[in-house]
Amino acid sequence: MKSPIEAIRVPGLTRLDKLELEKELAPGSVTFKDELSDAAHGEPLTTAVVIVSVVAIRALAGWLMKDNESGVIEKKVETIDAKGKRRITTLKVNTKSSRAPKAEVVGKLAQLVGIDASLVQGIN
Amino acid sequence: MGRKTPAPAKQDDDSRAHYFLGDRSWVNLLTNSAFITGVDLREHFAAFFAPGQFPRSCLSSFLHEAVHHWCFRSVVGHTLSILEWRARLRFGRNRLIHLWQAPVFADFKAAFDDVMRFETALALLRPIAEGLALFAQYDVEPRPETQIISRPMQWIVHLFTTPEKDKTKHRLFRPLLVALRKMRMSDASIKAKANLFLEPLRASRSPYLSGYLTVKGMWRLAQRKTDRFLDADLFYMFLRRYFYGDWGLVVRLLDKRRGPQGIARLIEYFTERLVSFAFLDLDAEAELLDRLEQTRVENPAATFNLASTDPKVVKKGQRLNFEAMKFFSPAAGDSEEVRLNKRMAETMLTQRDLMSIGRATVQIEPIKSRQAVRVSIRRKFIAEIQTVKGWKPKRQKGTLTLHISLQGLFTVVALTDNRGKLIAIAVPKDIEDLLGEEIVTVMTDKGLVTRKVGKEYAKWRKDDLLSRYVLDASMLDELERLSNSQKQFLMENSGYKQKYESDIQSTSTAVDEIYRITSLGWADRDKVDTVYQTMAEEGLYPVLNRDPILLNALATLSLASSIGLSAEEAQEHLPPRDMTVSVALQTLEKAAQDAGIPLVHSIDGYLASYV
Repeated sequence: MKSPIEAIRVPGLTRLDKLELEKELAPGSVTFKDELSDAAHGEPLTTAVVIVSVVAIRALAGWLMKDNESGVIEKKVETIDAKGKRRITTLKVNTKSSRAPKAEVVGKLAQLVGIDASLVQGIN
Repeated sequence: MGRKTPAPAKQDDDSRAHYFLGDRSWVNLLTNSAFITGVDLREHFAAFFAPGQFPRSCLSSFLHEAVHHWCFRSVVGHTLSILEWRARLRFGRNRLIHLWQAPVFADFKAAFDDVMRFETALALLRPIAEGLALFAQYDVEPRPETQIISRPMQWIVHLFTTPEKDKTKHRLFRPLLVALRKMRMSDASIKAKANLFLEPLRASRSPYLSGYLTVKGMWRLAQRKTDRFLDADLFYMFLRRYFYGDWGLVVRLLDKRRGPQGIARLIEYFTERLVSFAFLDLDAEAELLDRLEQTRVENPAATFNLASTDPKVVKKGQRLNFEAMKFFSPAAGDSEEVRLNKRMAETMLTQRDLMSIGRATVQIEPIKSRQAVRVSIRRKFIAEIQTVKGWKPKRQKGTLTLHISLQGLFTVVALTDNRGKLIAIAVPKDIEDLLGEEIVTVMTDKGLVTRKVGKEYAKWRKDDLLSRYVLDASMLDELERLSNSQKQFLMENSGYKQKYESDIQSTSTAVDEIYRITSLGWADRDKVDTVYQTMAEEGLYPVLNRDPILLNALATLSLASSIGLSAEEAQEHLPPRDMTVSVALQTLEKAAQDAGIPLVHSIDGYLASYV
């Protein structure tokens, strides 16, 4: 099933996040960009651009679940469609009150990119 | 099936890409505009005006960016900005006339030279800029024995602490130290420091770890030379002046000799500057700094230089700076577009004092009976603000920005419409009087000079000049981005592309070599090369056997050391499931010995960290 969304941008990643995400995702399916201009001096953070696929969504959900000590996952992400149109969305899942938190995160990501959630849930 | 469909994800109000960078704080050297992550004006607007009530979660980012802003508001920051704006204006002129036919014009050559000087100096200074900001975040604690505290720390006192009620000078220091110590031992800070240790040591790949270790190494050296620099706040005030108040660098940047010689001289000069640090009379520098900064508190118009500064170099730098600024004055034959661009660049060059610390899209409702508007954010009332004369009342969306003046220690609220036109500008009541003794930085034939101005001028300034330079930081950034893409396009499509790439490569090699030495001054001499190879791409991670628990322990112990905790006291900050302080110290000692670099020790029960 082809997603109308081509990529998801996830900002605010630390160096450790980057190492972990690289481990989770297949080579070539994620790139990291420092999106400030040359003259800007910013915090040591980067933005991941994940190419959308069923496997990548599953891996991204797994990575989001790792930072779950507060019981709430809240992350701003941006989707980019084939025409380059961008849309910012806040993903929010209360993992304390959810019976199947990972499935919920997967479901929200799948919905965001227009993929059938059951396809993603089935991948292990 | 039967799986419950998840609720749709929330769509944000504002989908402009610029704001998406909001997860990352930054300061732009060209415009000195800033963005502080975590500031939500809907929740925090009122806190801005109540001393000590600004959210503590923003303290770390605020301090980091305030140090950048403070450094860039300097003669070197100003000169770098001159070079880059001058280049962009020159590029713009070429584009309008002859880009496709013959891009190699005298003006293009000059623009290329400006770009190379700017980018070389930026690359050379970037690790120092980041090192100073990280040093402030993790190590700086002002001491009551010193007469003065740095500007960023003064703003921390104002925004994040409430003075105690006693009348001693400790009433300000104690709350400041408590706030800094609490911030440093927070989970977020420990995580951030652990991530700093993972940054590549290769400075051209990442300026953070190389810069931090360089600044920290310089501090260790300075402490050995003078007790005065046990005060890290005084030390980083000195280091800021040493690099960003350096008229010698200004001279090299504006020197008219063009071509590769200019770039090579710049690299050579900067290397010598770093080396000379070891031979300075730091006791004399610290004493003078303490005395003169104190004079500045009493008389903000006073200007001074470090003890080691050659007055002839200062004079030459000031003259070159003054001459360079003439480029931005409208000249006969300039088109209206060129005049406008020059005016914009000149405004950005001379008014770099305000630091924007919060921004939000707002709804603006005119109040019929008065010349004022009601401002709300997502249906929450925020403030009533008097509008500027001539504004036609209209219900609309706009942008609210909060600014602080690091130099003048006052605050400004600005309201603009969607096109960036100013609707209202407000300063707190108690600042109205202060404006009567407004401090402005003006360009004279002696360079940048800070002056007190009279009430009449201040009134005009408040109504006009101030409003002119309170441009929405997002607009400034957008403007910078636009001209940056134009510059990149021209560099890619000119005959200079190959030269540009080869010069950038030479600069990267020089930067790596300089910081390889300065960042590893604490390593065993015969192991510097091996340690550098180990740390070049993943920082301390390979030294720590890629163990995240050990990484976390090192971050915790280094921060505990910076606030003077004993090994025993540090224990409560290590997660119980991880490791005890004594096991952490033993394991780190072993890793340090294997690698040939000291990391952290316990001396008489107290922690001493090299990183």
